[in-house]
Amino acid sequence: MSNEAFLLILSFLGGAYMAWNIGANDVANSMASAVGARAITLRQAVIIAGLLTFFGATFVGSHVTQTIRKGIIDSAAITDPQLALLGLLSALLAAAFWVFLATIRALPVSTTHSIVGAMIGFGLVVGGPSVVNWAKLFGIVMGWVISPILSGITAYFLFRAIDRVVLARLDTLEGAVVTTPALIALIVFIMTLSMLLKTPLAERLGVKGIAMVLVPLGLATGVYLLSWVVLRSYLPRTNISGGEEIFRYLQVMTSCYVAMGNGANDVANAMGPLSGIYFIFTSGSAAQNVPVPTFLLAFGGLMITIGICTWGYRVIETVGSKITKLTNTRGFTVDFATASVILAASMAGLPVSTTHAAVGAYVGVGMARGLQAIDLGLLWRIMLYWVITVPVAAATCAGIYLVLRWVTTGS
Amino acid sequence: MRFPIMTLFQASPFERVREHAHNVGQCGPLFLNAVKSYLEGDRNQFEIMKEEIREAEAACDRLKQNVRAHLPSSIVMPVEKSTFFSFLKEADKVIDCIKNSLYWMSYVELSFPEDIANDYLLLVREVSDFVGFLPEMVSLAHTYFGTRYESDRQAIKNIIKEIRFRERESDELEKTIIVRLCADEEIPPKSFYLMLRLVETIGEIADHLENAADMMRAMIAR
Repeated sequence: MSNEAFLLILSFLGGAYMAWNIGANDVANSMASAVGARAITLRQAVIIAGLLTFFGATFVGSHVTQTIRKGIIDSAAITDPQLALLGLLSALLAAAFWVFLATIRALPVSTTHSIVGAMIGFGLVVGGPSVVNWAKLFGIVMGWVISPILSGITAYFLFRAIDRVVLARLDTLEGAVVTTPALIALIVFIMTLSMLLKTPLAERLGVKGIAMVLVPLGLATGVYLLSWVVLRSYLPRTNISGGEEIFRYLQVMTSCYVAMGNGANDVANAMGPLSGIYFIFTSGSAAQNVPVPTFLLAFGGLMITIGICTWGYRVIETVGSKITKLTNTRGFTVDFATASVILAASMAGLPVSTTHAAVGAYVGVGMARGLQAIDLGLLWRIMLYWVITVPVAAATCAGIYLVLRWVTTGS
Repeated sequence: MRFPIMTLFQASPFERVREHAHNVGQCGPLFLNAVKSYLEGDRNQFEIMKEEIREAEAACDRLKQNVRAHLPSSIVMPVEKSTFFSFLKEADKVIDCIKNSLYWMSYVELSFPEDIANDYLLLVREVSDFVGFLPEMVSLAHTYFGTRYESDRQAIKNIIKEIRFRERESDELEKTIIVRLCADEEIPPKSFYLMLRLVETIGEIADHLENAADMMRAMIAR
């Protein structure tokens, strides 16, 4: 077997391994709270998460994939395609190893951080500090800081609103009936808008210009009216404290929404480097602008889905049973805030971490007096893990790169 | 596996307070039985009850310290920490006063005039019954901080109202006993002093419980 064929197979294996890791780990972020609150069963969670993550990865994920691949490393400065290929492969392997190690050690690291850190390690070894796009990196780092803050603020105000409108009534069911159609409409509006803006889906459906906003708006209005009629006409009003029950269904919706956001964002972590490698193989050169093949996104989505089915269910089961204290209103708030921030970041082209956004949302609910106690000390420790991820992944990537270079070129 | 995110949820501080309140509440009937035994002259039974209450008080102290020790400085709670600690302090003083009143009784064999003994037993019955509101109130607060339902908040507010009403009643009873004690010329000075302290200490049980209820009212305020 030639060196190139060996490296290509290794790259696909590395990409698949990374995507599998994402599925095995990140799925818990979206589905665990819904399973924990017994909104859906474990089997349903795995099927829903698998399908939606695949959908998110394939249809929403392309923009972010490009950002990771060409945004952080200036591929124009790395003229030798062979070295660029080795570097991308090293980044993929380093990030996958680190995430896998973190999985075993139960460390809360981000796959996004890992791949970005590994990319930086590769850039530094191959071309020195000038190859790394520090301005872009700064933007991404700001995204890491901003995403927990934004999701925290969103969760804070959302929970305060739910607290005031639903929980503060003696008849919580009536409060839920009043608010639910608006919340469903909001979810539908954001989901459709994010799918139409900057994704291949709008192009395929032929939706352009003002229709980009009108279509989601129309859909949201339709869903609002439908849910209003259904809730008013068919909901039994026997249990006046049944507000939480309605939020159970909303929570399933937001969990789906998080699963899709997860797929859209995290597929970049595995498929970004792989699409770079693939381009080098097909064109023989390292270029700055390459289209990300849809089949690679689908491949990434498929591997994430396999990750969910093979290991992810165990994570959902364990995490879900650990957070049963989270009621449906709180679970909904956390999921909604997380998903909104992730999708917004995805549309802005920033590879933010789901973990970051989720932690921010938990703190937001806690600040809104929604949780009995939240430990900020532990939060700082989690943030420390996030910070060390970048240098550790960078150093590992540099090490793997040097070994691969020695194996393939002998120097 | 991102478990550390999930452990951001600390065990609710109200969980341990619930245990504390349960211990305090259990002392109500014990206290009544101890006083009954004392008035009936069954000193052995009184000492057994006193010992049980002393142990319960020691357990409550440990629980109180445990709650304080297990709250990291960085913890974010749905209530103000100072109010929470004040509540705990007042709830703990309830059992302290129960124990102290039994100690006052154990120093000397007090022989109460019959009418005062009856009023005294009535006061003890009132207070021991009243102590049972504490675990109920804490349990409801624990639920409320989990759900934030207005119905749960209303239930706590109703208990607080009841505690305030009962405190006023026991205050009246306390004053009546003191007036009777002062009017009785035959009680020896030492006994008079001890009885007076005893009645005041029992009155303090109700005062501390009312203070705890006030703290709870502040914690559940919107």
